[in-house]
Amino acid sequence: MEEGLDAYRVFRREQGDFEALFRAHYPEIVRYLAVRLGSRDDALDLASEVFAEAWRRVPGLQWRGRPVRAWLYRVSANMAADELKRRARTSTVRDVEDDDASVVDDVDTRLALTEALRTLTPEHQLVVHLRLVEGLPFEDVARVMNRSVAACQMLMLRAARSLRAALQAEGVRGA
Amino acid sequence: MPDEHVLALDLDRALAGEDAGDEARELAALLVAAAEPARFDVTDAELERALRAVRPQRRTRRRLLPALALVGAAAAVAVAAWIARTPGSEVQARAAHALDATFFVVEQVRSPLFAATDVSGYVDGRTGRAHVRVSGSRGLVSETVVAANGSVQRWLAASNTTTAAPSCDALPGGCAEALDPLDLYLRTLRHAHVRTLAGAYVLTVRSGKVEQLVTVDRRTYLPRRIEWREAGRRISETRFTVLDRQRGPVGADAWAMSEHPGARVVQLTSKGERVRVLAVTRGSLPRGARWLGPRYEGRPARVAAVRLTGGNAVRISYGPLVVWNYDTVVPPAVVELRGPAVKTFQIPGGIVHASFAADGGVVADATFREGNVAVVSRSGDKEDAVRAVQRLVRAE
Repeated sequence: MEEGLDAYRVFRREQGDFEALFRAHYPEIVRYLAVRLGSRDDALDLASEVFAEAWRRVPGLQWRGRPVRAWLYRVSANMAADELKRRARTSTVRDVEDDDASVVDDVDTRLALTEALRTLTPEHQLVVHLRLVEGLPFEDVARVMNRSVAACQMLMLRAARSLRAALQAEGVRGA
Repeated sequence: MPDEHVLALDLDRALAGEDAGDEARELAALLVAAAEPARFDVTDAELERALRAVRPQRRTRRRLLPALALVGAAAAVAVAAWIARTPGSEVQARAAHALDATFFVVEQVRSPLFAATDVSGYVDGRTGRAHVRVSGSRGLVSETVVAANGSVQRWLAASNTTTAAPSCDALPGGCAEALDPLDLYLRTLRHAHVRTLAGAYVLTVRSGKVEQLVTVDRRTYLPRRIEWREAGRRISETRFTVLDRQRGPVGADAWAMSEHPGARVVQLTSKGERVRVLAVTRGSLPRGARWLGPRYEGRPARVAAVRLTGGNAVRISYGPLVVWNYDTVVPPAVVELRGPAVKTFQIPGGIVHASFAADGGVVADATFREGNVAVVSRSGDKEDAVRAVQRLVRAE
């Protein structure tokens, strides 16, 4: 009960102080979008759009037991999906070379990991981001994702398996 | 299905660093590695810029503050320049001139507030170069090298870490051990009140509650002692036990960082941010970049655009041999392998410094008018990178 009351107070505070909300969450939204979009610069731009939307709409949000952060992630996910669709329509061509190099060093592995992470579903990306990039405990991850803790832990397991499969498909050793 | 829940919990334990089964640990390692590149910082400047863009109505008012700060900074610079150009007294001028050379320095720093330390090394008052070692009661504490271009390397014994930065400003705490108190002394000369005292001049300058007293030898015009006092109580004292003006040029070894086996290397940007690889994307070779052609010794070129904190680089790998093209920010992979240059030679349009790392890696750093290239080899063949750097060609 106390926890719910605290959460409500945080919700109201963030709703009433846009600058505090921005300072608290802008960096994590940028990091989340950077993985979704594969570009830090694009993420900085899109995160600004997310908060421009928040500036207009957060003051009118109704309390439904979830933090403002959950709303920010939902809007970010939707905007990222729109952006990726738009890119697909305009057909961006990536210059990826095929070769038979057998040695995979740190940067190559990193490249493969980054690309594998991008192949995960948005939900898997979000659970990995919240738990491992932002370091939230599963209880908070669950609040943001509006799921149970057990469901989030299961999502994490599936994300890990998908990641392993994507890396194996890329031929990364040790995956 | 229950097994899945057990594995999910096991994975959670593995992610928390607790005991877990093999599969959970393997998956946890993959997840942590995949998440690592996303753990970057958003700078204060980026955050403020975005905040201004989102709340445009505050823009005008908020711009006033940086503008006022800029005016204040410009005024401060103008005042400092005026002070620097104002001829000081004879003592001040001679004392400043006396330091305009290379010195071997030994200083004893004593204070009731912290443990006693000794500083020794070379300081060049003319170019700003410095190489000093700081020792405490348990031996060497740190070693700092300041180059003529202002770039700095500092090794700390406590963490066995060497930090490289483009200037002292980027290092936490600056380069106090290398430049102070000589630098402080020089600044004091410009402002101090001078009095004569038994074979010495005493220069006094007050800054807030702290009074700084510099004792200058009347014959050599070199500092003997610097004392800091607060409310009449001595809070620190630096005594120059050796201050030897070097007659001839000092050898290159005197300015080189010693080898510190196993030291971790951290590179900072001019803003003090740690240089990290922010993003790696496969890409095509930019025109003018230097490489070894589409294949080298039977291995195909793999090109990646690498975004670093504060800069960009292009990485072209040929198996274990990697060519880096970069501008101002040195890729961490190059910094980590760099040691004291053991071989320096010219190639068309540039000069190469080769260094060998303790683990068998080799870096051949080539400096060209248009930019920098480093050829890195981890193959263990020391001549690999040295041979390759001489075969670099520009991409059409």
